[in-house]
Amino acid sequence: MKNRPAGDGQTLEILEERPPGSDRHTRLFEELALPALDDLYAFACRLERDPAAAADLLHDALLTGFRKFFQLNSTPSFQSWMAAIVRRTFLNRHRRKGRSVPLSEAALEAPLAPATSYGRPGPDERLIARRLGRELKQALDELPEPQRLAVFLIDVQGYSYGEASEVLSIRPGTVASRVARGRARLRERLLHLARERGWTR
Amino acid sequence: MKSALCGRIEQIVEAESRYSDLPDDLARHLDECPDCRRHFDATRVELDPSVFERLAADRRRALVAALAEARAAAGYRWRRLGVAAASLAAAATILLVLVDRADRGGDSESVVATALVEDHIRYLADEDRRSTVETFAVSTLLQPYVDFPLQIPEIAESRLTGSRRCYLLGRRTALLFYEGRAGPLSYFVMESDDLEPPGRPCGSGSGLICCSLKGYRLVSWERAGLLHALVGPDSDRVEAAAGSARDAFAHESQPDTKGNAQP
Repeated sequence: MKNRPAGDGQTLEILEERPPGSDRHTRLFEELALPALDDLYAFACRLERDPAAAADLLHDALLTGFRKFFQLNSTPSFQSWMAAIVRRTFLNRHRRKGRSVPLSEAALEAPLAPATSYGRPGPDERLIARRLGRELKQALDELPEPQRLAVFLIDVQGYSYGEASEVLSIRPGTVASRVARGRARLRERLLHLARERGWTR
Repeated sequence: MKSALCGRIEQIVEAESRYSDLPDDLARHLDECPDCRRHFDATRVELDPSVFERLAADRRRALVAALAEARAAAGYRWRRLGVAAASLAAAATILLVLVDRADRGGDSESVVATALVEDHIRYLADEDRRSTVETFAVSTLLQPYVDFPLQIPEIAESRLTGSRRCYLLGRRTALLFYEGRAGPLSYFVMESDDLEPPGRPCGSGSGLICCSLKGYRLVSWERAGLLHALVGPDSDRVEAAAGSARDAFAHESQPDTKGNAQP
């Protein structure tokens, strides 16, 4: 799990010192956004599944964030605020293009067995997971979109359930649920890959 | 695994296996309880962040350039608004000054009083107000800034709490902050040159000059080429405090602005 940048508890404090319209205020957006670009881009890639489209999405979202920066007054975390903008921009772009947005709740209803597993992954499982980093990333990208985003925000980018719920516009309980199901699927996939390679039976 | 410290993980496990969504209160509990979070996170599959995409250098440069362009455009918009607002403000100020001069005979005293009182108001909540209580530290901060020997008076029933360098009325000014029975006080010392203490002689016959402005009391006096002014709440206590500040130096030989001792 990564430590997210932009010392977010301080964002509002800094904003008070730099009122909208001042040059320092506009520079503040850059100061907060630039260290977060890679994380936001990785999140955009989870949405778009295409690097070039993700970069375009991030470009549009950043400019939207810049324009709306003066409205940032109730979200304690700059990065979760920006991630929410990335997601909304993604939805708007796809609506404009008339394409279906692959954020179907129906995807959650796909068969899942077992739904939840509270068994801890053992050391061997963790080792296999490290060796299968790229395959696991691919497995994550193959998860149904709601689970993919929830697992990515919580497990890879280190968001709290509250922050992830703001980004995804769903209740914290739904985030936790999607995370648990996504993890169960990933573990299933992990075991399958390990068996394929003869690392485990 | 059962947590040794928090029993709610059992509810979370139970709810997770029975319902499609975890109840919100349990999800929030996951955010707040490190034990439960650790337990819940133990189920995660290790996902190495380094395998995820990073922005290519040329894409990053393009984004930075786009942001800089947006900032420049925003700056231009704000500047245009600023110029319009400043023009209006300047016109309004000129009008007010003309009206004020017509009413008051155009005296410079009101300019002095306004500058001092507004500065007092502006820094009422400033952190410099509580920056230090050490006379030596205050002196070290201010003395190199002003061109006159600065003396820091003890004010009756008040204590020194901080200081600030400021530039007022076209001159370097030492500003000391006090707190006490008279309330928060700002004590200004600057070269008087052509400045007159604003207001009228105080009613007490103390020889101090008093005026009230915007709900604040300004008490000032001139001594050895320096204008001293104390601003605080509109009460007689400020006058008493100013009297004690002035009298603190009364029995000492007071250096003038060139540093020469005066009887």
